[in-house]
Amino acid sequence: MRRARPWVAAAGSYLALTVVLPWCNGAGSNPGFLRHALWVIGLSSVIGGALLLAVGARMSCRRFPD
Amino acid sequence: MRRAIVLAPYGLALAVAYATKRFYAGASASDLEPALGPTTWLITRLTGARFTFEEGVGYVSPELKIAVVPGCAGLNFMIVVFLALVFGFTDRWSKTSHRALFMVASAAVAYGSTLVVNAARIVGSSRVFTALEVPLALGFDEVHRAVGVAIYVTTLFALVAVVERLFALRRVPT
Repeated sequence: MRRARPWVAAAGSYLALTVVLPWCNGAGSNPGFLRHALWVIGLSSVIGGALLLAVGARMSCRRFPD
Repeated sequence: MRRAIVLAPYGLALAVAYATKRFYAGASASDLEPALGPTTWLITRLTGARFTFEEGVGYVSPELKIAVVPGCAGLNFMIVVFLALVFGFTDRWSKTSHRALFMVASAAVAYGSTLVVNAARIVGSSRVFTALEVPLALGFDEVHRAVGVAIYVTTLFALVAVVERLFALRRVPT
């Protein structure tokens, strides 16, 4: 849990500042906001997922060499 | 009392983030000079393009056909990096003085990384837009947003990985 904390903090603060906070401030009524939110959530999920896979693969390679 | 000391950095970080966000919401280009000035200086170093400051607008480059306006200052990314570092790593320090120093260092890292990443994002958006405009028929906003998300997310996770690695090195004496 402790090792996951920085990653959760990074993802959480990023989504909070780019999607949640603007939505709470009324940006949700803007027609372009849904598009913006989908771009942010979709692309960051793809990049974050790829990075997590890379880190996970590296860790399992270290733990179980060959 | 002990619980208050443990939770204080997080409360302070949230207060700093809130104050920065409030300042950013109403800030003009002149107010954001500490962010916009160094960013445009870096863009000039990367591309050779010159910028002129226009009051009420920001830094304008006719060569690149871009204006670095208050919305491009990257202060949201700075807040994200600061919060991610404080919430992710402050508990790794046991002494209060070390926690305080780590918070100051986090603010410095957030500021420095924002300048570099933001300059890369603006140059990247401009270059990618020029390359993809005709083949994909994408608007500048879409390219700007996609490049921005890609650069910001990658840098954010890379920073977390680097700090994690530094803590791992600190734990294992060589």
